[in-house]
Amino acid sequence: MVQEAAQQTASIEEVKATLRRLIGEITDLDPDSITDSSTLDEDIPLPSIQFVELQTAIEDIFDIQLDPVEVVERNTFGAVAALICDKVRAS
Amino acid sequence: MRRVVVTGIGLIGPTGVGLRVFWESLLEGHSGIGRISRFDPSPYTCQIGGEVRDRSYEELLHPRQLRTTTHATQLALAAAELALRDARLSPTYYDPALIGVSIGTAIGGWRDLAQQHAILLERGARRVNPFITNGTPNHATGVELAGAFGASGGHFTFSCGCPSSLQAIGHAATLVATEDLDVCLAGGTESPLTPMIFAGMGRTQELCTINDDPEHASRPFDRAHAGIVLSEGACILVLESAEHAARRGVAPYAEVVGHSSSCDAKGLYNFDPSGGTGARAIHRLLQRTGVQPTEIQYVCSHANSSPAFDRKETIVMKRAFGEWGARLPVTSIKAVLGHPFGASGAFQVAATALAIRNQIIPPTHNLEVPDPECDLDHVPRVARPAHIRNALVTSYGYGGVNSYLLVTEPRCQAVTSPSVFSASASTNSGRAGEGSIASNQGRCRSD
Repeated sequence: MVQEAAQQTASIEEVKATLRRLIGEITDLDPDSITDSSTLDEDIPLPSIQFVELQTAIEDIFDIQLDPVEVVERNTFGAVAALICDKVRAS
Repeated sequence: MRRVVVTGIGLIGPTGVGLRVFWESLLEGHSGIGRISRFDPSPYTCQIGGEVRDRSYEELLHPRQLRTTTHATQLALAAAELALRDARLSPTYYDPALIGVSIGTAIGGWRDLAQQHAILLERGARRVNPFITNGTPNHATGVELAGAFGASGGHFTFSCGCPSSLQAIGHAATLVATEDLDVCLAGGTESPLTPMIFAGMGRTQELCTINDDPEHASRPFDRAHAGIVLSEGACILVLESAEHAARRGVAPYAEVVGHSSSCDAKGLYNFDPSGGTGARAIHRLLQRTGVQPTEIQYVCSHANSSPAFDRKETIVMKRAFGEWGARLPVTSIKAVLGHPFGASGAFQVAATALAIRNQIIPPTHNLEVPDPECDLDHVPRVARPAHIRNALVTSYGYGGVNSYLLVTEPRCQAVTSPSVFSASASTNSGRAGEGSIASNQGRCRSD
């Protein structure tokens, strides 16, 4: 089980790029089709095991802890990226 | 009963990635053994092993597989991909219902489990990889392979110590012979280079401690054999019915004609000192296949540089082959490869298939002065040309499991014949060098 190298700092654009890549790897979605307003429940549907994989990868890469409830509440791709960015800055 | 052939071999080990480097290492004695770099080995009595240093195999894996599967499974996934490429077999060709998976591993995902346990203790439960629980058990490798290659014909995992992959290959051959499957991905994987293994086996003094000369530390049959040198890797074969291979126009490396096994039944740490239990399984195999003991020209043995196992090999060979045993080349590839536990049988089958393809016996490297109790023809240090029609692969494990696989030259006609997996006899007198197979004889297929 290979853990990706952690990113200590990240701009919002870097977070979005990483998030798009991960979603593309984990789902069949074209990463370029994902916009800030794409929603997790409809546009980026993730079965629970894929959601856990995404959450784990994000936590490893950005060295943060991500609460699934927080993520679901944000719902849109842009808001989730902003949440990650805030957590990286706060850590 | 159908004939079963080996049409593809995928291999990742301490000698490198792919068949060519493996075969050249076996012939030339380029050792894959070195000082452990994966962790600090200085606290342990044994500080050497056969690491997979060429990580180019990771390019064959999807990022998801790297994140969610164990090292042992990753090695197997990549080796299976190489095997299918070698066999020129793509998912568009085979019927998913008629391809299966049969994998052997002794310890599966131990290494990753140990790593995640360390993370649990150091960083807490929230940082543990959530896929460790389902990824660690030994069957995880086989089901990942089945998923990756759409093999819905059946999945089997064998875990019986060092013979695990030989047992898996034997079972796979039976499934193909009995028409349950057309194709089976069969072999083994192992990733034992983890501090817990070195601590435990170091304390039982099973591991070699020649730390200052890693390349010469594994010395099967030699008077100075001083314990096992562990290694990691995966070797997966494409086993296929001869008809299926012929329809695709693929020349086999070799034919798998029979398998047998027995158990010494002396507990985990003792052998049958007479060698009779192993010899009986060999006799059963030869009788079933109609091969005379004197028709075996090569034995690719389990011998792993442990005095106990090397001597057991000699005792069983003498008991099984009698006078012919003194003339029978019985070699070990583990001076170069090290001992990848449950995957070692598959590596031996690969070496045997290449020996048959090239008609060369790979020697026992590092064998300089034989142990007086290992006094067979162990082909020391120099490869030997030979006409190999029938070869025996042997594997032994803790717990006294004895496993044997009979591998022969591929016969060129893709027709059904009395199979070795049935009670009926096969003479195995068919000769390669005819028809389409002839053009591939004497050459090592490239990676």
